[in-house]
Amino acid sequence: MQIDVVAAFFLFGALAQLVKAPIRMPKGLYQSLTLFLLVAIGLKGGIALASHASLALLWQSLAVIAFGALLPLVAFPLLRWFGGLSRVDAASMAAHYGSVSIATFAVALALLEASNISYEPYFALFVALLEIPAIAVGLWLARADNGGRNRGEVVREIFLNQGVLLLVGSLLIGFLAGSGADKLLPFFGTLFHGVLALFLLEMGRVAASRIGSLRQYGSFISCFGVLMPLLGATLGALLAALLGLSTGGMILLATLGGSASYIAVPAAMSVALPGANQSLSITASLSVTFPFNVLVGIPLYSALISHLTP
Amino acid sequence: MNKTLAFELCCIALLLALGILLLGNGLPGWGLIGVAALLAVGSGGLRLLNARGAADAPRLQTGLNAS
Repeated sequence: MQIDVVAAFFLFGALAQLVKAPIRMPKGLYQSLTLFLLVAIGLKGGIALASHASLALLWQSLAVIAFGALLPLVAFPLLRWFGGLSRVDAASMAAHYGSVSIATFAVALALLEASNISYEPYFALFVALLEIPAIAVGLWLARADNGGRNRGEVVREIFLNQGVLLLVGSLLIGFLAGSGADKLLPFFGTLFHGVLALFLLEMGRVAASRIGSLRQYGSFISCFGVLMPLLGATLGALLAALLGLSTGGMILLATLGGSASYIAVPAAMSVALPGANQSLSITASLSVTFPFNVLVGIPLYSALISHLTP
Repeated sequence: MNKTLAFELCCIALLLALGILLLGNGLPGWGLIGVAALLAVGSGGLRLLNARGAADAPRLQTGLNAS
């Protein structure tokens, strides 16, 4: 069995934490790595978007937004009926699983580039579009009625959180600059894999440090955290096939469908649904779904889709 | 059988079946089989721990009352 070199760093960080020999990474460095990945993905997507903007892309974008709204509707009944979660907790967690993880997307990109599988280069646009609808659907599912008191704060948190802002901002800069932004690529392009490896080293440590919480929340959360990515990935791959995307595009949309947010959505939900158990959702997305996708899911989606497509 | 346990058993069985199906087609299915095994151990282990905890609780309560 061969493991991807970037994913190996995730495993390394997790194992170091599990044997109580954690690798201490300065908090500022971790935040810098996150910032780098968001800007790199957004910028490259924006440059590609400048040369691929079309009416077909508009329809694809609308379909992707609808997909982002559908995923929480799939997750919510499972969490309510089988997990017995309260309406607010189920809605909050459904929003996490409807939104996407930039880190998971970055791992899939790295795998595609390492395997020389081509993909639609403007995919960063879809990542930005998938961040938001799930939050709105999650709030609707929770029937959150705050009397409009913190609505402004919620909207601000949804659209202006650091993840969405950096991704959309760099996407726009790349789009407006076009080939003029190429001079930034030696930094944001060449260093991408190395930065991702360092980022995953820290993510492995963080994910492993939360494993104890799984005992508190029961085994249902672990099962859901594995089953939901498979459902989301299947729906994502089917949608990509309907939209006529390339093999790489199918793998990326499957990965996005199978991923769960642990940065943007928790920030928005903590403001919009203060009564929801945020720790439950973060533990599931970070300690179950993220490792599952990095170590098992992405290689599986890639192998299966490559096998099924001509 | 409660709904949660049924969900967990279905999930484990599905992962196992998918893993075997993938292996049969020459695709990487060991990951899913490994995850199914981990979930089975986790589900069983947690239920055992909870049952043991529930059994110990009345004994502890009796001990406290006696003292």
